[in-house]
Parts: sequence; structure tokens; C-alpha cells
Amino acid sequence: MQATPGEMFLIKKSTQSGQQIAKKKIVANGFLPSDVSRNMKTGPTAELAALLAQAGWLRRFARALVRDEDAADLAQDTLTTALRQPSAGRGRAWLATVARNLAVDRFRRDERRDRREAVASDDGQVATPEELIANAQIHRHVAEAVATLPEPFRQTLVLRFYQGLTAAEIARKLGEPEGTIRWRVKEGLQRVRRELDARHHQARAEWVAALSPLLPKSDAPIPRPPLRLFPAAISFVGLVLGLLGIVTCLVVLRARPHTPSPMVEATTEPAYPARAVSPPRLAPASATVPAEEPSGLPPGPGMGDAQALAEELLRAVENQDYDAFVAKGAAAFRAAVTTEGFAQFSAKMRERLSHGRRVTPLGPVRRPEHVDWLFKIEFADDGDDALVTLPMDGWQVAGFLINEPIPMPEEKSP
Amino acid sequence: MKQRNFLSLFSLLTLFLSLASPARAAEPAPAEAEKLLGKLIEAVKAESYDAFLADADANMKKQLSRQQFEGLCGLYTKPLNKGYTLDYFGRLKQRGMAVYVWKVAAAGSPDEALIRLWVKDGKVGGVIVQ
Repeated sequence: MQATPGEMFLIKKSTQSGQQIAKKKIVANGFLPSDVSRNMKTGPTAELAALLAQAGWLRRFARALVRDEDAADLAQDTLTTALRQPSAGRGRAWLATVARNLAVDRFRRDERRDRREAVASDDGQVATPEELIANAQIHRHVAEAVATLPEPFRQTLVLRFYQGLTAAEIARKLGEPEGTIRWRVKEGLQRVRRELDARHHQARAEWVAALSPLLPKSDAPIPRPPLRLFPAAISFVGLVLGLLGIVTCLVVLRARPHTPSPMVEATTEPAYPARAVSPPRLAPASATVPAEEPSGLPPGPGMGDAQALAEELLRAVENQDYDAFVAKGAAAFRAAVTTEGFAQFSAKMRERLSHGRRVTPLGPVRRPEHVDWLFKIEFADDGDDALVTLPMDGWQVAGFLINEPIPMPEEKSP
Repeated sequence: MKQRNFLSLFSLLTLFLSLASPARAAEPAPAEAEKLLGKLIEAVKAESYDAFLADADANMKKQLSRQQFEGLCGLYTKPLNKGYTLDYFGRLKQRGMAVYVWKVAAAGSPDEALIRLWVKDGKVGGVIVQ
């Protein structure tokens, strides 16, 4: 896709695989920079319905690839991936390929974790007093990490690992679906891992080594099912994955304004009549509206800090200052935002921004892997408002989206 | 399942409670928009195509087929019926329409979604859950 003015950038971090995947979306002039706009123009709900029609078959196919309890997740991941792709080529063969790739990803991820934990637990060395003290500290950190988890994760982890109940037993006890319990365990553990990584400066081997003696050998995290793929198929999938990885690194990809969360977009197309002029009275310089601090968010900036960051990024766009724009970005963000792409983006936006604007914070939206901070921009040019999304991965900027209105087909230039 | 991970939905009581939340300095949702969203949600919960389009403008009625609506229900009816909270974010103007923005949080899920509702002259021009 050719770059045009009016770009946004979004970085998605895949915490499950431990890899950061950078994506950049190029948005044509005046188009909503999101999958939503694409979906809107192409009959989103029709695509959705078509995909949902494949759900039954896909679940059966997923059961052939992974253990039954993971099949629903795999099918869901496949559908979510499909929704993020252009509509072309979403037949069964395409979905099957996606499902296989995701299954291989899952298999490799689990294998890596098992190897890491096995290495950490089988070294056979006797700990020194200093190591024992350090280990005790790590155990305390684990307890604290679990204790500070929000509900229902804390309760679920306590029941699963401290009381030793199975997912089915917890489901019965809480009156929740078993799949929900399994997801809570998975998500809760991921949160604990993230917390421990943060406390130990990403030195996972350190805390894994300290914890592994606590793991009963016979209770190795949940037996791994065999991946029911032929070796040749795995090699082929590996080759495809490798190529895709290279392509991902080299090519500017369409991206989403949010993570591949379980949220699936659904939309109906709004009508856009002729523009009604009701200009806000704005100061020539930017002004901001302070807001109160929300609570219950993962570590990262609060409303005030996020707003200051958004203003900083808008100023960088206005001043066409690439360095300032990427200064507080995560590594993947910096890698994805090219100077050329930023130049086109800022060239389009700077005029509107420089004539005056008012930034109003709307609030945070928690996503699986980051927090989206949302802001409204009112411009002094009497034009449409824009919705700004600032995804924050902890204290690092993970993306920046300025969402402008979607033009009606008749408004497109000939 | 990830779908469960993201949404479970709504009741009017939690809607009003969330609107009263002091977390932000946003104004309360206009009654008109709130009512329209509530009716859309109830329509999805009840899987009623006709109710969903009752307040839609001509374009939306033209665009949204019954099959598409069933697709929406496949995604959202179950989570909506499990309970949810809404948090009004604010209003934008785009192309002569008012765009009302809410955050929706599922009961029992840490993740949230964004709802945008396009309204003009009391009619719904579109809705996005993202």
C-alpha cells in the first residue's frame, strides 16, 4: 500500500510470544485509520457473518491441531486474525493456514517455556545462603504479585495453585464456564509474569530459577498435547513463518488502532450528510482540559501524564520533529515509524494543528496488552473533531492514532 | 475464550452508576444518546433485528441486513447478557453528526471496549464496538 499523507502509527506488542511486532498503518487522505473504516466500506458485518459461518468448521479443525481445551481459543484467534486481514482470500484454505500457523506458534512458545523451566529446575546445585535469601525474596514477590492481582484473577489463581483445584472444579465452585476459568488462569499467570519481570528487570531466568524448585515434577504445568501436524507441514509452516517475519520487518503493514484483543469490531456504516458548521471558539494556541485521575489501571501514566504525552506528540507533529515524536516510543514504535512516513503524516496534520486546537481527555480503555488513552481534538478551522488514541505500554508510547471522519463515497475525489 | 475475555454487558443501573463515576471530568451522556444506545443494546440482547433498526436512519437500514445483524448478535448477545458497565467518554462532531463515545467493561474481564454511536436528528447513523 502506498504511503499517503494522513498516517497513523500503532505498535502492537505480543507479550505471549515475547516478541514485539511493529505495524504501521498507512491511511489514505480522510479515511478513518482503522480496520473499522475498511470494514465500513466493504460491508463489515457481512464479512463478519461470513467468518462466523466458518466458526463451527474451524473449531473442528482446531481440535485436530491442538488439545480440545485449546481448540476454542485457537479458533477464536484465527477468526480474530482473519478480521484484521484484508477480505481477500478468507476461504477455508486460508483459515486453515492461519490456524496451523497459530498452532505452531503456540506449540513453540510452550516448548520454549518448558525448556526454560526444566533447565532452571534441574541444575542440581546447592544454593548458597545468599541465594536462599534471594529466593525467599522472590517468593515474597510472587505472593505480592498474586495478592495485588485484581479480581477475579486473584481468586482464580489462589483456587488453582494454592488450593490445587482443577479448572473444572473452580468452574463448578464459582458457577462460571470452564473456559472462562482457564482464560483467567492464563491471564492471571501472564500478569504475574509481567510483574515479576518488571521487578527483576526482565531477568526472567532469575525468578524462574528461584521458583522452579517449588514446582512438583509430576504436575508439570498441564500436559502438553502433541501438535498433530506432519513434520513436513511443520517445516513448511516454519518456512512460511520465517518469510512472514522478514516481510513484517521490511514492509509497512496495515495495522489496527488497537491490539488483537478478543474484541472483534462490528460496525454499521453511518451516514455522513453535508458538513454542518458549528465552529468551536478556540484559542489560537493549544489548550487542554484537565481531568481527574482514573484508577484501577496497570502501571503507567495517569490521565495527566498521558495528556501531556499526547500534547507532546501533537507538538512534534506540528513542528515536524521526528526525533521528538519517537523519543518516548517503545523500541517497536521507533522501528516502525520511518522518517518518510512521519514526514507525510505531519505534513498533512500540521496545518490543522497549528491553527489552534483544544485537547480534551476522554479516558483510558484497558486492552489486553496496553492501555489506550483517548482524547478529543477540536480544531480552530471549524472542521470535524478528531479522536486521538494513545496506546501506552507501561510508560512507553506504543502507538499514536489520529482518527478523522470517514468520507462518504460521493465525497471521494474523482 | 477471547470473546468472553472482552465483553459482557449492560444494565441500565450500571449505566447510570458509571455515568456518575468521578473518574473523569466528562459531562453526562445526553439523554437522547443514552436512550438510543440502551435500545440498541436491548435489541442485541433480544436478538431483535426490527428493534435494532427502529431508530436507525435510512442509510443504516439500507446497509444492515438481517444476516449481518445475526452476525452481530453471534458476537455480542451472550456477553451483553452477562452484565457490563458503561462509562460515557464524551461527544465529537464529525460530518454534521454527533459521535457519542462510551467505554464498555465486561463483568469479570479486565479488558474493555470502545463504543461509538453516530446520531443525527434523533436517528442512529451507525455504531461501532471496537
